[in-house]
Amino acid sequence: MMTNTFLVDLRDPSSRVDLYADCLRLRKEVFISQMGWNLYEASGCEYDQYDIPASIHLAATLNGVLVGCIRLLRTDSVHSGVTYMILDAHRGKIPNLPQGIMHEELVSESVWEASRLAISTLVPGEIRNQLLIGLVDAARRYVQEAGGVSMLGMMHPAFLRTFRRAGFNVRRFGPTAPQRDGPICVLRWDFVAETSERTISVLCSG
Amino acid sequence: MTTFLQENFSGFGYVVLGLGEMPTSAVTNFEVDWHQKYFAEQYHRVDPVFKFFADCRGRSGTRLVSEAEMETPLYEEAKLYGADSNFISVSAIGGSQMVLGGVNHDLDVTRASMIHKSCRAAHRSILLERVDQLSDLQIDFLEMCEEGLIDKQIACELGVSISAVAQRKKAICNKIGVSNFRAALSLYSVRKWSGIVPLV
Repeated sequence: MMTNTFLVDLRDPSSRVDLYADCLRLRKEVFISQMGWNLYEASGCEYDQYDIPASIHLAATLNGVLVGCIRLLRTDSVHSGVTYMILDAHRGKIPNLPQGIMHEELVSESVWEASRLAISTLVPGEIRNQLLIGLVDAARRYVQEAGGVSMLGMMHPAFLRTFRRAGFNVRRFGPTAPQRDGPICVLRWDFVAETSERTISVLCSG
Repeated sequence: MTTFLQENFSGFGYVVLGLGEMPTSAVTNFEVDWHQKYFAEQYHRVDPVFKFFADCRGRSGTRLVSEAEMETPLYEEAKLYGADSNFISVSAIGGSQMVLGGVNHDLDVTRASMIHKSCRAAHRSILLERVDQLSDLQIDFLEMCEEGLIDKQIACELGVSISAVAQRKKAICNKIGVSNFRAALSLYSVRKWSGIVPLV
């Protein structure tokens, strides 16, 4: 099985902007059609206040079919009264997400947020980790190329172990909080220059 | 779970049991006196709720107790406490079983079937919450299993014997309350990936 990841940057026509709508459609399928989350939907796509031109998307394909996506946003993003999803949730501004989830408020041009991670049920269980790690490693590469050093994401605490096993320097960045689908916590990846590129790439290649 | 039960029953009681386990107490909104008497006198041995549980032989099932069946001394006494359960749901997941008795004499078969589905979902939720109690080492172990490593590979990676791998699987099953490791692994995956992959 062949997996690939692609950058989708609406400001960069040389990126795979053709996959943008597919990412939003996958999110609609996963979050709204299958999980039943109460999110905004139009034209078969799911999108929210954080889907702005400055948002970067990474798309994962399996044998040429889009099966995963993740969205990146710099944590110093401010637009139309919102910041980034984790900080807005932390401040209690997002219904259905727990508040007080960060050790401290973090706003920095060198720290990015990863959100709206969606993976299709088409991905077999035994390669789900591999696909996820491929997406997060592609995010790491993008963040580092953009001068960033860290990334935040909100996930089940078990992923702390998944990413550590894969060679990432990752830690909790807030308490575990209950929500409808189980506990979540903010994870923080630190991408130091000597991040074990080799280790991660070996794991990504399966 | 309690809200869903309170919406459907004037009274209810349920137990979650491992294979071969006998009930000693229940989660219930019945009167404390009834609850204590029920288990002190071992009424579950003659209760149609547990008779149906035994008849299910490790499988899920639901039924409504008829009025004729309720003409017994046990039901006469239970009625005094509002504990004359006419709805029975048995849910079986990977060797874990949830037995629920509820009081709602207006139920028909269709509605009972719908409530039974909700009971199954509630049972699953109880087991999924137990996944959160696993230790970091147990999560690492399950990660390897999820990635498809076979016992020999896991033993090699952990530097332990094959029998130690089997023991770790058993410990994980015990913590989640199931007897089937495949069920434990499935519950782990569902819990971990919830919000990312819609696993049913």
